[in-house]
Amino acid sequence: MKLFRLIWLSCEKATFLITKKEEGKLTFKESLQLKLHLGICDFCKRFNQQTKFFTGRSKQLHEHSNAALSPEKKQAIQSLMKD
Amino acid sequence: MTFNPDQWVNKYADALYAYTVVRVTDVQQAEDIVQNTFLSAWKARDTYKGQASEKNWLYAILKNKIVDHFRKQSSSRITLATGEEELYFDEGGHWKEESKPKEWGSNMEQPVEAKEFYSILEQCKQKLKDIQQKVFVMKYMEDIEADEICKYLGITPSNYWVLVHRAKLHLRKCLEKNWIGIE
Repeated sequence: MKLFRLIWLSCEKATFLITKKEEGKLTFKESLQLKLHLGICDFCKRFNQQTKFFTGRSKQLHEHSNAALSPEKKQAIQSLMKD
Repeated sequence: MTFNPDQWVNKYADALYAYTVVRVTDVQQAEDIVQNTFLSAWKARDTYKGQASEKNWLYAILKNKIVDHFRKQSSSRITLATGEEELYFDEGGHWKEESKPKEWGSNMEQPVEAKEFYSILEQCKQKLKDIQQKVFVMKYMEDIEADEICKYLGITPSNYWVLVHRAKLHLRKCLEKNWIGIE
């Protein structure tokens, strides 16, 4: 029981530690707890994979955007670029 | 190396704007940031030494402006409301039945409908609280270290963890609903 309490993590805490891990800020105990938790909890394992999936891709968001400046705005900027 | 300020707006304005607007969300503010970027670059054009390409040089100026924008906006100390986690977890910290992450299956393998995924991701990001968006953008879109982000936004590391955790919980749920299509 004592060991169980030592290594047990709630899902809320486990998902929180996933974020903390990204900065390399886990203690040895936390890192062990998280590893064991992800080994047995399908939901947190999915959370981990899915959040890595979209955070890793968010950098490319603009490459898939159709956003463009209006010709008027471009004209205005161009006209300001004078000495 | 090409360095042709007369062609900047023509060549880069749309790309710089798209880069900015998905990060700061507000259209007017994004326009201002792009304009200021061109004007700063124009004023500093004599200092260009050619170590970076013209394009990368403009992006470096732009990225500074974006971080400046986030920093200026958050001068006052923030206090985090409690309870957002309760949307997803019960008192024991277990996933609530309706919040348990579902299987995303083959959607994660190949970006079949990449455009759709990115547009939904952008909409989901816009639904986040302002401070969560900023933290998310700085961390995952601008690759800034957590320590730096805390400094820029005047928040503690523990606030930072909470904000990122909440942003991920909300985004994951929003994508599952609107992209994967599971309620």
